[in-house]
Amino acid sequence: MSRRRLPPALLGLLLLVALPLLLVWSLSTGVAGGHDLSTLLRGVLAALGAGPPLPGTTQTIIELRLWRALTTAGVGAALSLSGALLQGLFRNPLASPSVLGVTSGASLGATLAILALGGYGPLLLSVLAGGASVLVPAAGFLGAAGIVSLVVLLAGAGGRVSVPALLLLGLAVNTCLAGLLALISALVLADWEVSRAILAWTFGSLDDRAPQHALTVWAGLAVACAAVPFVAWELDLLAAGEEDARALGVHTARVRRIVVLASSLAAAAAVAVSGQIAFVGLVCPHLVRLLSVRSHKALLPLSALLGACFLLGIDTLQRALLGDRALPPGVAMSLVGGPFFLGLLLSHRRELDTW
Amino acid sequence: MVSALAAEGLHFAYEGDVHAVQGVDLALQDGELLVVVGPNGSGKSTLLRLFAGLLAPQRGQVRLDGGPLDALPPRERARRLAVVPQALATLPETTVQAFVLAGRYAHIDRWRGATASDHDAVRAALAAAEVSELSSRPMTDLSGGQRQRVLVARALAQQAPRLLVDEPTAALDLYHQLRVFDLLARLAREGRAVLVVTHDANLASQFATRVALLHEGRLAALGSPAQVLRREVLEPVYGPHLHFGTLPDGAPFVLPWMGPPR
Repeated sequence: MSRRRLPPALLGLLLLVALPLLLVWSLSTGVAGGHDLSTLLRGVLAALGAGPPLPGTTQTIIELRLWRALTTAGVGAALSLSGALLQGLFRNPLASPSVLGVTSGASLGATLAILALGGYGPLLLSVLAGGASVLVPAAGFLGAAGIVSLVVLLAGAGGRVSVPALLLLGLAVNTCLAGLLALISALVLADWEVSRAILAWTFGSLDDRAPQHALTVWAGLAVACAAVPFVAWELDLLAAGEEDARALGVHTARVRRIVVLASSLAAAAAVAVSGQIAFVGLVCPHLVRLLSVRSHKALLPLSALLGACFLLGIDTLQRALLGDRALPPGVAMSLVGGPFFLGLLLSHRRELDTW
Repeated sequence: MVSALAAEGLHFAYEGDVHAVQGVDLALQDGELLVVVGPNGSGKSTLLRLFAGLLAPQRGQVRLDGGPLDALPPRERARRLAVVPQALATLPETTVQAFVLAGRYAHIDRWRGATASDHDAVRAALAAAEVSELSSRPMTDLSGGQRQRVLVARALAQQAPRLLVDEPTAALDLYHQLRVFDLLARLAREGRAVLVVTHDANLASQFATRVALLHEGRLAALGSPAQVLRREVLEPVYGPHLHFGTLPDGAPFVLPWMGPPR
């Protein structure tokens, strides 16, 4: 039966070597040209407050690229981890934050928060909120968690969702959310400030990222990662069936709650700093399973690691190739991920046909 | 004496369905093999899931060692009560060894991982179920009989003194049916309380301490195999096409027989 697979430790090691290399590549790639390694190192140290800044624009350029690279890697890791968790929860390889509408849910939550801050909601809320930097991502998290909970509810007691059911659920959820988002955009079209803030959130960007962007996504990712030891073995046991896992002593309701919160948090943290980037959460866990391992103890951390390398690699590659005409990250990922998704669907043809 | 596991006035109905289990009182003692038989849809599997705490009864309750079963946290329950399912939703892509280790879930500390005593328990369970030689084989490679024995091994690794077994011989040939029941009877003789749900009245006749006959969600008969496997008891439940006989050791057997009704 066995195809040759990479030992998980080896894949982990390869990715741990690849990530810093990709970071260096990313830092030396851009319209303003590259820098040698020692300049990069001094620039990064200065950015972290451990040395004098470099002269001229060099420091600014390195810092811009540093925050961009760190944000990108964090977004890739968070989306991929979220996807791996959701695939385990629903026992379905086609689950991912974007397919299920979790990222759209985060967008809706954030949009509503932006509206509140823009004076459309209760004034008190905007006063209390103080800064948008906390309220908007928090509302995004609530939106994401709401959507995952909704899907859990619709999935019913058994917990497993068939491929056709999952796709239809995702389609329905995404359609509803897209409608609501379009409605809000239409209503506030005249208010340039609010429209712009909402658009920035919806389509996202990895340009002009600042330290707080990197911090937001890595903080969300860290909390989601902390959930991994509490659900990894449990998700493996759930794969053989909900009742079987319960008979073995798994507190399935608690596992489900933790996975819902962790996957929503990771997805929302990613959307909070980069907008919607589809397919990372679908492609990366799939690649890990294909190349190496299925057990969640290894699958979850490796998915996060591969997600970081994958998004950073794609983003840097397209910036290297296209220069100042580089695409927004969501567009680039769709070009790669769309065909991959189609391929996955074709490989599940039989399950779809017999439905 | 407090029963190992006792159902008191259990009622359960699936949504929009007739009552699957209605008013069952049934107690299981340590050291006995209690076999529950009954026709399709008589509520056997539902009763097993109620006993396992996997379904919550709408009325009545299950007591484990005298205390309410539903008050136990899942891990504690699993240390005292193990279930051998009929089949799994999906066969995990692991080795037999790793699969049986899952039986240790309720014992293994999340941060320390599996210890020597866990691996000892797995080894002992594999040996008891006579599947030691399969330990490094992938689960997906096993025959039906091997898989059934591995499922028993996983429950044994759980080291719970109570064992609930769902249709253990459904997919097995004649020889392996005997082997599985022989193993279950041995486990009961060693002091465990074993409840088996099965279609097979004849295996029940040879191995059971007591037989419970379930019919339309109610307990139709309860007693020794000789008391339950009689025409007067079975005919109202299974209809007239039955042939009764006696095995060399005196145990009754019953066959479906399309011969002329009496």
